Amino acid sequence: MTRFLLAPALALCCAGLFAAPPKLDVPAEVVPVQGYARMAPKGDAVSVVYVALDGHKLYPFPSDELKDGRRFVLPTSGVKAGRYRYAAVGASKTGEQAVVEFAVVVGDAPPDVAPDPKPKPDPAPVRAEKVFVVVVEDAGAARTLETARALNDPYWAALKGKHDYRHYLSDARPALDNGYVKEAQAVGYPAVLVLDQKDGAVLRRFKLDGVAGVKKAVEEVAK
Amino acid sequence: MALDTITTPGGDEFRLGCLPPPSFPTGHACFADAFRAEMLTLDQVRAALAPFNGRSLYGRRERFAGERYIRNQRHFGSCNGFAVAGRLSVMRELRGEPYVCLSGADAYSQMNGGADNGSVLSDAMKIVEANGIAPEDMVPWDRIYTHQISAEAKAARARFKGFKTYALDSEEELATAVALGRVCVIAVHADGGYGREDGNGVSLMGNGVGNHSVGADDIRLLPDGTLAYDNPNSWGTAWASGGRTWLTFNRHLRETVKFHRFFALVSTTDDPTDGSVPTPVKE
Repeated sequence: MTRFLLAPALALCCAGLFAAPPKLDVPAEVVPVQGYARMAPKGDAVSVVYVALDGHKLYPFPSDELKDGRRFVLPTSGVKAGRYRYAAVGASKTGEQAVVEFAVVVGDAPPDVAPDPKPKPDPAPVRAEKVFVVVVEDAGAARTLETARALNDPYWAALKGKHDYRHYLSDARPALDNGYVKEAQAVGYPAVLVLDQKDGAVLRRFKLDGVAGVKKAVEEVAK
Repeated sequence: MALDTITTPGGDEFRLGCLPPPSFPTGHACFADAFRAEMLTLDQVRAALAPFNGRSLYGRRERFAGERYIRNQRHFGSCNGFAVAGRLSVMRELRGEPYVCLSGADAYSQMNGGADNGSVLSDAMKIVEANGIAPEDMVPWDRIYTHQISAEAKAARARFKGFKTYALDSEEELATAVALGRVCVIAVHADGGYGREDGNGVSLMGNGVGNHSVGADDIRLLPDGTLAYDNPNSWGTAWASGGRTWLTFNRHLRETVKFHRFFALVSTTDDPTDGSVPTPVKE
């Protein structure tokens, strides 16, 4: 006999150990009507507690004062327009809980934007098909050996295969007319401008400090 | 006036058409005055070259090799024309312009006064900036007189000009200009030793008043600390070392510089009609 009584007791215990949380159906948004936001959750939770989220202090009417303690009642008269978020925490007879979030929308508040769980990476910058690298030297200043070596590096001849380049003095007519001198003055001479050959957009602009910097700039912005 | 001629070991005969002017030309801007802040001492140039262990600073002998770059004036006294046309062609390419072989004959036609009696270095300095030089495919090597040159070719000169030339009167100026990447036109006194070289590749030619115009476009340090200048000639690629030899100031240039106005070509203009026109900055 004991054996037969034990089995159901064990079953009950096991049920307590492995019981499912209550069903808790709550609308995503509750809109106040005539000064009250009211909502009755559906499901089999025996009790529901409402927790204000995001630090706001708009607390619902105490549930133990209501005929049905599971209901949500919030006076909204005089409340500033906005979205006020809550967590509904429902409990079953055996103590399992279920949590569902919802919002009370007062006035014309914009909808929540749910945070993207997997933010998309920034799209890769569009690279130029062909760049034109312009170097502008100050016509009135001394060229250094370092500048001379940079401007006579074999890199420039290799650049010609896919892209193009030109070296100017700052008083050369094309350098003035094409806007290169104005750009160069912003960074100092000798200046390097990396232009998209398609439309002249300045993709990079910097002071020449060795040919390695030019190579790097071209690699960053060109296909 | 008959020009001196020289016959190379290969049997080619060249006329030496670089004339010393009646008096030393004046009125030119000097490199040292224009680029005073740039001027390097010879020791500074030597120090810059020391890490290269005898190699040249810019490798121009390797880059500007072959018949594309080493010109051949053949049997006219047009060395001055070929020297300046060759340097202008190279300077354009260094700046990023497409290479165009510019006509030594056209340059000479602007300086020879209608006769094949040579020309003066300082006139090359003038015409390269003032007029420009037509492409060789419009003015071949044997069209050395103005009446042989088409109106179209004369009009084309304006597309190919030097931008800023400065006189070089000392080794400091020559060494500075070449070390800073400029190309230069100079005068040598070609003799029987010109195309022969010592163990360092330096020409065995001597000094003199100067009779031949050539280029200088690179520099290296010899084992004894002497600076040597790479000299592209205009006698074809079979001459000396692929058409080039090395010169030193003391052995080859210290006298000729007193009679001829050496000059540096600092930059060139753009040809607005070529296929490589730079894009204006987007507004």
